[in-house]
Amino acid sequence: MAAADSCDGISTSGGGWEKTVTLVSSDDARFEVREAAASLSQTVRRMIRAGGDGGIPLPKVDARTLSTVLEYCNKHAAVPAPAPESSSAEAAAVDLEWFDKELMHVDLATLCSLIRAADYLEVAGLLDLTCKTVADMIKSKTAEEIRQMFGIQNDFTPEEEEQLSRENAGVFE
Amino acid sequence: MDCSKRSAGAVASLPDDPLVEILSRVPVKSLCRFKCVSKAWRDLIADPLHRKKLPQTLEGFFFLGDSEWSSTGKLTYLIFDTAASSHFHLVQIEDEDMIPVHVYSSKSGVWSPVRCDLDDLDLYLVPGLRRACANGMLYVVMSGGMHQIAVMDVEGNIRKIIPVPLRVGDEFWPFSDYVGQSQGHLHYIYHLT
Repeated sequence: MAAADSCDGISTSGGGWEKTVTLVSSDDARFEVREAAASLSQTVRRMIRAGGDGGIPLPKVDARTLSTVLEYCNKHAAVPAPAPESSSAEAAAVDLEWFDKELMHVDLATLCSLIRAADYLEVAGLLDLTCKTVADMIKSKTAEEIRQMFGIQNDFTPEEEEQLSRENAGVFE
Repeated sequence: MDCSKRSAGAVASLPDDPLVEILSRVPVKSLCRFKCVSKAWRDLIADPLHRKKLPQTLEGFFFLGDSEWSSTGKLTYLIFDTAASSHFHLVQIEDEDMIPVHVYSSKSGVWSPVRCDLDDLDLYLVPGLRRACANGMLYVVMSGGMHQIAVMDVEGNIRKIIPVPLRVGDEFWPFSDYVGQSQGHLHYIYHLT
């Protein structure tokens, strides 16, 4: 990818001249992205406004994660806003839903990297999507299963644990 | 999707905010279970800052009890905080008894007396309904040398006394006051005659 100023790149994708920006991952990979897509990230949007040369550095996101985030942004920014209730609007919504579902077919570690990235980059839609996915994965798990999934140490004493489970055996069971 | 073994440790490093985002999307029942995962998770779930987001909107339930001081000489208060415990507690305060406090726990199912040294603290109870529940503690407006708020735990022990901020040199008693809980914080309003 060619080095470009952060805000004055151009591309012809979509048949027209579109402004692009260059995003630089923590491992120095450069991504040239349409500004409309990159602006789904509030963090990037602010940095575009602030200006600067040589690309926008994103030191908290690695290339692999950033590429998935941008896949999401490109797809979601590309969807035009057709007249509501039209058949094309419905088709676009179904397509987007399918795309989101496919994007979430990754392991927990990848999901967590995406959550951290979406949180840092402030991509609200992606944060919602990834958190929902993880919530669905964990909601029926036991405390012990959660510890195993997330590599969490059980730091309760046996007495504390017994008391907690006794409390939870109350009104909600 | 179940690649849990490979991902050990991945979420442990999730910042609190995204973790709260995740936990806000699980049912209350799961959330109660997750309090047992670790101290960090328990504290995160119990943190008043996160209450708004987490699905535990049930702050209490309607309680009908002895609320008239004059008729029975006792007041019964309910302490129920789903974030702290799924059990509820009742604290009953009597005005004449030297053991003025009895507590009830839905866990034990029995009333038990508590020796509560109100005399030592130079306090007596102000009749009425001026009390609030926050963070699993009961806050009762009391009167003595000056108006104060007694902070009681579910065992009926007075844990703290919060003086009501009367103006310096002001000889008036608060004419009326109100204490309440909102989003895990205690609020107190009074005005002087």
